[in-house]
Amino acid sequence: MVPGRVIDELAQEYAGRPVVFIEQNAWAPVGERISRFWAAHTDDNSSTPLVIVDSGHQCTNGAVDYHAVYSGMVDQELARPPEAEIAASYTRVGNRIRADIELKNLSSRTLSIENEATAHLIVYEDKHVGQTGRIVRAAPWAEITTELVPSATMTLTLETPELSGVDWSKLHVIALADYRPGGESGPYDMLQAAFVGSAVPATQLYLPLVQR
Amino acid sequence: MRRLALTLILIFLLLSPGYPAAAQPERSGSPEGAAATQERLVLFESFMTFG
Repeated sequence: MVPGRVIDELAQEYAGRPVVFIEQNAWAPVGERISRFWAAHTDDNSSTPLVIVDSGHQCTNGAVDYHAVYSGMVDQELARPPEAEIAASYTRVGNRIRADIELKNLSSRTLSIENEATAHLIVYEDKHVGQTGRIVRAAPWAEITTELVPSATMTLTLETPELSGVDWSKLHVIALADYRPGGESGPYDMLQAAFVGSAVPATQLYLPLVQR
Repeated sequence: MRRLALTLILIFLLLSPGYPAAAQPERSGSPEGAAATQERLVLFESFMTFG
């Protein structure tokens, strides 16, 4: 069975659980996400699909027993506690998405540029463009340049480029933070990710009723 | 009449269960916002050949 179909099946099987399956074009990736595969990949050879779970804490590529290997990777990650707490909201600014992200470091490490700690925003659309039903449209990121000690909280804002040709009603937004435990080498690890909701207050939604 | 309508709308907003939630940042969970606890949200990313 082709990997895209298996991934879509897994998305159905894990529906209702905290797992997201997203896809990018390996030859035209956006953001700093595919670099997490290359950081984790230690073999000289590779072939698509390139797969990472939680920023490369686990990775695989090429032809494998897709269902068994992929679900095994997901199950192992589900058993791990998060190492950050993320609260975020976004607003639509023209054809861009701007998100305000609050990140609390729950790990025992200080997050900084020394371990390449990074915050990412991923916008994906429920649409079959490549091989699965969820395509990444934008993935802006920012390195965490100010030291974030354990238990400390920081806020930052990330904004996408112009999003064109998308169905806005089918977009989802995720904020996440990752870092490189080994410093300048080795795989990255994701601290936590979170779905980001719209910050539009309910009062704005109802205002048109008042004005009639 | 207009004041009455505004009052009713205000009462509706205050009583609406979605009012405070809509203005709150969303935490980790499914796209439907089902999960609110701080469990790990696992991110599976595939990089495919499109063709």
